[in-house]
Amino acid sequence: MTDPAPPPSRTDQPDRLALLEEALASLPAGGGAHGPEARALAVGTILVIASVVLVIAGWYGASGTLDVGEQIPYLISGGVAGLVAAVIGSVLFLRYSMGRYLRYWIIRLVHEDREQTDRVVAALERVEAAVRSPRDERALDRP
Amino acid sequence: MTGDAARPALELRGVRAAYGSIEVLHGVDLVVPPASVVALLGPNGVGKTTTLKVACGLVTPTAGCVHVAGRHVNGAGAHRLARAGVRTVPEGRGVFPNLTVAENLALASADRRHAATVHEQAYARFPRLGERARQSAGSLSGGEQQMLALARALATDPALLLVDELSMGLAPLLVEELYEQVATIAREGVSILVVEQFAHTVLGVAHHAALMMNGRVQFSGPSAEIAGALDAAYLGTTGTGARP
Repeated sequence: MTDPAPPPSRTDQPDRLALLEEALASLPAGGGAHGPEARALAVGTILVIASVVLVIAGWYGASGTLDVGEQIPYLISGGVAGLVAAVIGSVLFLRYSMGRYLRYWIIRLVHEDREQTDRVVAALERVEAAVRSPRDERALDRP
Repeated sequence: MTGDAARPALELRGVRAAYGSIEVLHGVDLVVPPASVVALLGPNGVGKTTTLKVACGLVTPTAGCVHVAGRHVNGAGAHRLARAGVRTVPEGRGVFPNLTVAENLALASADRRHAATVHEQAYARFPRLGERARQSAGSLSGGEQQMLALARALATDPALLLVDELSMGLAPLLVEELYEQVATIAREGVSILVVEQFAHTVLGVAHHAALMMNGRVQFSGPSAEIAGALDAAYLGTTGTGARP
């Protein structure tokens, strides 16, 4: 692709591009994360699954011995770490799945609001048409 | 003109973008020179709007580079780019239907004093909006709503304006009037990228045009050159006069 040439410049206009460049200079850019939300959701799911595995592993290890001293490491590694992973995973999962749902919900509300406004405007136009020509009753019958 | 002036307002290099696992842009190259109108054309579903969303920061590219005024802005965020001076007129109606025209404009202004200037400039540019200042935006005609969307986008003196399907659902005469305004805006120094499905409406005012097919820019060049290539490209035949 050949780069297009700019049209002749006008000197009486402010240099918008220079101002834009100045404003962009402080922006944090340079890669960006593609789909950070999806990634957080995946991490949350993995953590919840890992917590179940940890708890089962802890129980399995602890059940293999009658010595309380040997059971404590299993309790800490399996039980406590599993619990922490479950809490963090659940928070991540709920935070990002709820965020996604609430965004959808708000967009849906805006969309319905617009449709409702369209219906009201259309109804008013039909009423206006009917008032202007009372003999034409078909105007009110239009959907 | 200095060397700086030749720096593009917007430049996409090898941009790829995806929705989930579905890639829709497969390496888009596009340049918008300063103070010019570039039309991004193509049939429905080829990735024009996604390209616009990448340019305004709503969609983060999976590969490639987005440069605005020479700065690398991948992942900078749409709100930060908008604050810096990259404004978008979205497809359809980008107005709040239950607010009045004046309230819609006031939303784009930073403070009360600035709001007065925004109103003054918007009504000077679009006198019809001035006549309907206290009317709810939802009760405006489609063309007037587009005028309001344009006026709001211009409220903060943008350097780069991204316009999506300005002609959607409007009468040809009204579309012509709106594109005349677009040309005027470009003459004021604003760089404009217009996404448009109906090519002939925009080619009259665009300095350059790019034709997208299947998630890539297939042809680009001066508007006059690409006009001849459009029909062949839309109908799926080869042999165009535009530069690849």
